[in-house]
Amino acid sequence: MEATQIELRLLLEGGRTETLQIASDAKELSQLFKAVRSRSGDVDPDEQFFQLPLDGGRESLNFSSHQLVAFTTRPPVLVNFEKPEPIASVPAASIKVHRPPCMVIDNFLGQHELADILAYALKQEEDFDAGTVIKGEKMHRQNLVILGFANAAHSRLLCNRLLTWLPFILQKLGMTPFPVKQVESQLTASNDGHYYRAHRDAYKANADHRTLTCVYYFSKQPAQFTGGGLRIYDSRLQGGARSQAETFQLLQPRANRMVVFPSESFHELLPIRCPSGKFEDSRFAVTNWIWKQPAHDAGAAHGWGHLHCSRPHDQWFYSSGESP
Amino acid sequence: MIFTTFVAPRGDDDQWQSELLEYSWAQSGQPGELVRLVGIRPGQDLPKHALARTEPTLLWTKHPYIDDSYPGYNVPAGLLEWLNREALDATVLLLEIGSVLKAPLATEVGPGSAMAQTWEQLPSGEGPFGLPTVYDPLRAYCVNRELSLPQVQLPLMIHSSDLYTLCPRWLELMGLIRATVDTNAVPPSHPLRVALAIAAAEYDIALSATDFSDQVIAAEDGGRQFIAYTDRFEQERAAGAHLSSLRPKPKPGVRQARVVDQWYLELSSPYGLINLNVSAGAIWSLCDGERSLQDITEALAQQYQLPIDTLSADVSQAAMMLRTMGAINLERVLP
Repeated sequence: MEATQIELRLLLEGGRTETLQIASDAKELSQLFKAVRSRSGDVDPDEQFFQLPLDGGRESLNFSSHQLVAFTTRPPVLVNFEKPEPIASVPAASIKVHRPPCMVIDNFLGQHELADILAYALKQEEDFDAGTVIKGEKMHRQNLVILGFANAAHSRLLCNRLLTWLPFILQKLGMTPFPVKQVESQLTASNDGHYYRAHRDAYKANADHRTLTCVYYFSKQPAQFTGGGLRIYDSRLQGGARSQAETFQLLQPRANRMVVFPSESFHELLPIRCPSGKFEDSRFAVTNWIWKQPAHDAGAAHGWGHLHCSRPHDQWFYSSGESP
Repeated sequence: MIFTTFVAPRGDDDQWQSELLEYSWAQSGQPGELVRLVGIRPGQDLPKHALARTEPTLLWTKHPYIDDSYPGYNVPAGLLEWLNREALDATVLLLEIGSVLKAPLATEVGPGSAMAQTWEQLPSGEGPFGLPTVYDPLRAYCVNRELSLPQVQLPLMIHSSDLYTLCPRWLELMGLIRATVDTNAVPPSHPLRVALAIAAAEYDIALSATDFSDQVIAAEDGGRQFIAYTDRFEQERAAGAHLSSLRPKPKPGVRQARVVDQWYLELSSPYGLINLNVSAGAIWSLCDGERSLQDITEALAQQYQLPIDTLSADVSQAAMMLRTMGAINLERVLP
């Protein structure tokens, strides 16, 4: 069933009410149902903590399950707790779980460069805008994005370092060297209650599309936030189809850390807690997407940051056993 | 543990210089392991050494992005690839090809306490980092151009974690210097040295200027005077005498199982699961990190009542094979 938008009205202790929009398949909606049901004492009575974004992510509503009195939905949502939806009847042997390779590089930039890119991000506060909505699903993503970062000198600084690393990253990930078509760059700031649900950055491997996702984290030190971990989910492969598995690798957004993984991998930004709510205390991240040049095009010039130079030379395209 | 390391692509000139360095490493009594990083194309054979471990790396003589030919790229690129593959927590003594060890450099260094050979002739001027103005194009690529540069060059004695941090920027800066600075106005060795100094300053890795001239003769200071030793080295190698001080130690992560007389090893190298014949198995069972190859030879000679001379070559050959497969490291024991 396709997800639809639900109007959710929360009734909290003390008479507070809040109305917000949520996707019908949102994990939070399911948790809310369970929390209300737990009040009757017949399921796990453990207290839950909720963080729901308001006003395009500029605010977050935080409450514990014991404060939740009731909630309404429009249109009505019916839940059958006794009969969970059956998993498709597929022979287990035909499903393979694949763990995507990833590489973590700490101390990615020099200390002076790190201080400089943080100062740059803090100066850009007014240019940050709410993160784009993906596939028309509101609530899929909550963070702030600065547009046009790709043209900034700091973007080129990261891009140059990343491209220097690229041959070594590809070796580590077990990928064959490829010519780069382009490098996309985006700067985001994530503050209290922000998150980005599980998604993929590319849908087909080796296509003329994003091939590698490279996330560089930085923030004020010591960090004024908690959470915000990056989950890289394993994939369930069945025939030609790929779906998200329940298992994952969890990586912490440590300052001056670069994390690289294939763009076709499912990944998720976990919610962030930033008690001050101040922009300067945000967890900042630069995401670079490296695009593969689909054909071995000798005329293609894709640049090394701002050096504007040519593709990797031929000998790196030979695999073992081929004649150089 | 000290990894004495040098970067030398595959070539006749590189080979004799590598063997000379290898010989001087053995003669000097330098502890630890000797590693030669060799930039080769896939499918090419690795050069052979009696003592040095050879590690293949991508060939960077021609820079992949800027289409520039400069052998210096192989140094940080080879190191980065090696350290990326082999997670070390050890001291790396990085020597230039053509240099010769006269005496051991046995002091291990921890993170943040690197040493390098003094370079008093570090060029100075009104440009970025106090360099001559010919380096002005670097202003566009460096955040803090006022940093003070350490007056250093190779040899470099550094902890592997610091070297891993340093190498990408060292490599990047070398490319930037070669691509943007007038290379006619800069001696050929300077892009490598200046890039090292800038990268160290930018990553806050203190390289204390040290005089290694009592231990190392640099290539440009006449390393060829040692070539006369090579004949003696060949004679010693033929007799197996050079192996007496090597101590085979199983590599971390190698899993072993013994079924009747057969040893099975599971290696993290491409060799994967291997089984050893009875002789190799007997040698493997004595590789405990304590015994030298000489000790192992003597133990087997006593156990099987065989002459030491006959066994010595077998033990050496098996040890070299196990090292090539990634089952053991061969460390040198200080006398």
